[in-house]
Amino acid sequence: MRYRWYLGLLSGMMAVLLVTSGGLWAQQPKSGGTLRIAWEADITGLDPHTSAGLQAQWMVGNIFNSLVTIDEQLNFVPELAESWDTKDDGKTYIFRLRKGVKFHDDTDFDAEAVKFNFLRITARLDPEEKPFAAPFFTAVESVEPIDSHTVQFHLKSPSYTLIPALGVYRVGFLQMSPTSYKTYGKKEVHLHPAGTGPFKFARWEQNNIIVLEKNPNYFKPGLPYLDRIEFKIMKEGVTRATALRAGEVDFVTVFPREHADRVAKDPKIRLYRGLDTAHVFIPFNNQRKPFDDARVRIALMGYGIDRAAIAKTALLGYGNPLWSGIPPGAKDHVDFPEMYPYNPEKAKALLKEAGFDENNPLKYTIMTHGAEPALPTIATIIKTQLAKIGVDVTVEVLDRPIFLRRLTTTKEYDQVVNFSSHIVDPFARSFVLDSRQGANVANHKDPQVDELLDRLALAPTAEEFSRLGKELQEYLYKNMIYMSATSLPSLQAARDYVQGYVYERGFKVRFETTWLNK
Amino acid sequence: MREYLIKRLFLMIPTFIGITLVVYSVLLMLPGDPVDVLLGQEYDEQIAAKLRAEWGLDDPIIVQYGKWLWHIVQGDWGRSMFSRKPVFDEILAKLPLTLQLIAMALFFEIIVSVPAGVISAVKPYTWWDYGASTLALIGVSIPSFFLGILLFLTFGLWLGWLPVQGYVPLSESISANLRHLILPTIALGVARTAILTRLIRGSMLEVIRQEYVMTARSKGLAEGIVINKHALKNALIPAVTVLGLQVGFLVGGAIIIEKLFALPGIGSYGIDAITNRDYPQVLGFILISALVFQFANLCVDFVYCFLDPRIRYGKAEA
Repeated sequence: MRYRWYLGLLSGMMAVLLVTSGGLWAQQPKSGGTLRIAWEADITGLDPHTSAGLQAQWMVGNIFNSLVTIDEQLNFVPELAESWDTKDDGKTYIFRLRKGVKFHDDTDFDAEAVKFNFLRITARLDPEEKPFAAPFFTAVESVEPIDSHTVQFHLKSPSYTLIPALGVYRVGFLQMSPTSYKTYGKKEVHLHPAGTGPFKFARWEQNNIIVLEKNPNYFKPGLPYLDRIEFKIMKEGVTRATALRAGEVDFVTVFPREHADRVAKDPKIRLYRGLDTAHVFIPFNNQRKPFDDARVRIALMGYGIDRAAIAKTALLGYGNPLWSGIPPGAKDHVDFPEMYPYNPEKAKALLKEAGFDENNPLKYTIMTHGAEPALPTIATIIKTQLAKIGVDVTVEVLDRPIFLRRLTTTKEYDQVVNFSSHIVDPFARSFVLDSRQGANVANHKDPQVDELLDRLALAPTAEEFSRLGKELQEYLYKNMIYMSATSLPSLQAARDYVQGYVYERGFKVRFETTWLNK
Repeated sequence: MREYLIKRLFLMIPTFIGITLVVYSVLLMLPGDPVDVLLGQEYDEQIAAKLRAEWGLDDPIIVQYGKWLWHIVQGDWGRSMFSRKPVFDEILAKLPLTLQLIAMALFFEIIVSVPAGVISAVKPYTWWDYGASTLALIGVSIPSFFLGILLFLTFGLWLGWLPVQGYVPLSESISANLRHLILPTIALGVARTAILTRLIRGSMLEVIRQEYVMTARSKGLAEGIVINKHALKNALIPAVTVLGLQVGFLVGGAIIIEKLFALPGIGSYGIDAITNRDYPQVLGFILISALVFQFANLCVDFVYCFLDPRIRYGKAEA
C-alpha cells in the first residue's frame, strides 16, 4: 500500500491534463497550417504490416485506418467498420463496413480489401513476407466477404483477442490498398503507402524529413484540420528540446527527460504525460545456474533491490518503481510492491539458503545497452545495491546489435536490463514471454507460463482475459521469471498554440484532430 | 603532371579494395547483424531466417564481399537493408551538404588561423601572441559537441539570430543555406583552427629567422611584403599537409556535428548505418569518405607545386 500515492499522483496529473485540454476544446478548431514535428529517428518505410520500428508504427497511424480503433481511455470504437456482431458463441464476427470510403489511390475500400489485408498480415498472401503482427492473428481461421461491405471472421475457437488485434496490438489491423500492393510489389510498397487515413504520404528524404499532406476526401467529416505535417528528424534530445523552445518546431514526440523540468516552467510549452506504458525489465537468464533457482532470483530482484531509489535517481523523477512485468498504463496491470519488500537481511538469508555467503559470494554480469540512457544508470544502481548484500555484479554496456544478438539468439547473459516499447495489455507481451517461439527474453522453460499464455490467447471474454492477464503477472513476479525495475514515461511536448491533440500514452501518435491556434 | 595524376588515380584502386575489405570483415565478424537490429524484441527465428536468406547473410564473408565488389564494379552500390532504397542515390543526395560543410570549415580554419598564426609569430611574446595562444588552447580543448550545444543555445535560443537545426539546400536559398550552416561550421572548425594556428606560428617563427628573409629585408622590401610574400609561402607547406590530413578528421567530426544540428549529411548517414549494421550503407559511407579523403590529398599535392616550384613529382629519379 506504500506506493498507492504514486498512482494517486499520476491520476491527479491526468486530471489536470484533461481539464486543461477540456478548456481548450471549447474553442472552435481552425483548419489549415503546417505542423512541424521534431521526430527522434528515421522510419524504415511506411508499410503497416512489415515496416519495423516505433517511428514507422506511429506514422502509419496517420495514413491508414483499421476496422476498429482505440479512444483515449483505451476503449474499442468503430472506425472503418460501422458495427460488428458475434455469432456461434463468439466463433464468428461479422463486421459491417463503412461505405463510400476511398484509399489514397482512389480505389474503393471494401470487403475484398479486408480479406487481402488479412491474408497479407498473416503471411498467407506471400510466405516470403515478414508481417510482424501475424502471431496476434493465430486465433483466426479465415476471413470471408459476405457482400461488398460485410465481412466475416471465423475463429478457431472463441477468443477475446480479435478486437484488440484489430485495434491496437502493434499498429492494429490497418487497411492498405490492394491495388497499391499490386502496382508497386512487396519490395516498393513501403515507399508508396496508400491507406484511407487523414493524411497522405507526400515525401520522405532519408534522415531528413517526412512530409504528409491532408487527405481532402477523409471519411470523418471536417477532419483533419492540418494541411500538412512535417516530421523533421532530430536524433539528439537536446536539439529537439532547443528547437521547440526556439519555436523552430511545434511538437516533440519523444521529449528528453533531462529537459522536462525546464519546459514545465515555460508557459508557452505544454508537456504531455499520462500513465506510463513502457518499462525497464530486468529478467535473469532463467536456465543458467544459479538463476534457475527461484530463491536466488527472489533474493536479488525481490528483497535485494530498492526500486523506489532506482526510479528516483535514474529517471530524474519522471518514472515510477515497478514490480510487475506489465507497466501501469497497460490494461489489467497489477503490481506487487509488498510481496518481497526491500530487505537486505532477508535477501542475504535467502542467498545463504541457496548456498551463497561471504565465503562463497555470488558473482555475475548484468548486460545492457545505451540506446536508452537510463539503462546503464539503472544497471549501475542495481550493482551498488546488491554490493550491500555481498553480491559482486559487473555491468556490461554493449552496442545494441551485439546486445540483441545475445539476448534473442545466443542467450549469453546472466541478467539483462532492457527497455520495452509501449505495452497495451499482458497478451501484447506474449511475444517475448513464450518459451516456444519469439524472443523469450527471460530464457525460461516454464510450461506454466506457456500454458497461461495459451489460455490468455483463447480467453473467450474480456473478464476472463483480464483475470488471466493478472494471474500471469502474478505468476511471473512470484517466481521472479519476468519483472521490472521501473516504468518509463512517454513525454511529449508542444507549443501552446497546438490544440486538439489527443495523447495516447505512446500507443499511437495521431494528428487527425490536431489544429493550430495561431 | 598528367602521368602523375594517372598514377595517383590508379593507386586509389588497391587502397579502396583494402579499406572496404577490412571494414567488411570487421563488420561481419562483430556479433549482431542487421536482422537483430531490425527485429529487436520482435525477434522471431522464422522471420529472421527469411531475412538472412534474402540478404545473403548466411554466405561466408569472402563470398558476400565478392558479391558486393562485383556489383560495385558494375556501378551498383546495393540497396539499404532498412529503407530498401539504392545506397548510391541516398549518398548522392547527402553528399553536397557534407562537402559544403567541410569546405566551409576549411575556409573558416584558413581565414582564422593564417592571420592569427602570422601575427603571433611576427609579434612573439606580446599580448597578441598570448591572446591567440590562449584561444587556441581553449579551442583545442573544448569538445565539438559541447561547443555546438553552447553555440545553438547562445545564438539560436537566447539571441535568436541563427537557426538551431536543419538545413536548406543551396539551390533553394543561398542566404538561408548559409544561416543554417554557420554554427555547425564553427563547431566543426574550431578545434582544427586552433591546431593550425599553433602550427603556422611555429613554422613562421622558424622561417622568418632564415637568411633569405633577412636578404629580403636588407634589400629594402617593406615588412608586409617580406612576411606575406616571402616568408608565409614557405611557412605554409607544413600547414597544407596538415590541412589535407584534417579533411579526414572533418569527415569524422561531421558525424557528431551533423547529428547534433540535425543535418542530413553523410556523417549522420554513416553513424546510422553503423549502429544499424546496414552493410551496404556502411560500405557506401566508407567508400565515399575514402574518396573525399584521397581527393583532398591529391589537392594538397597540387598546392605543393604552387607553393614551392622546386617540388616536381615523378622526376626525382631522372
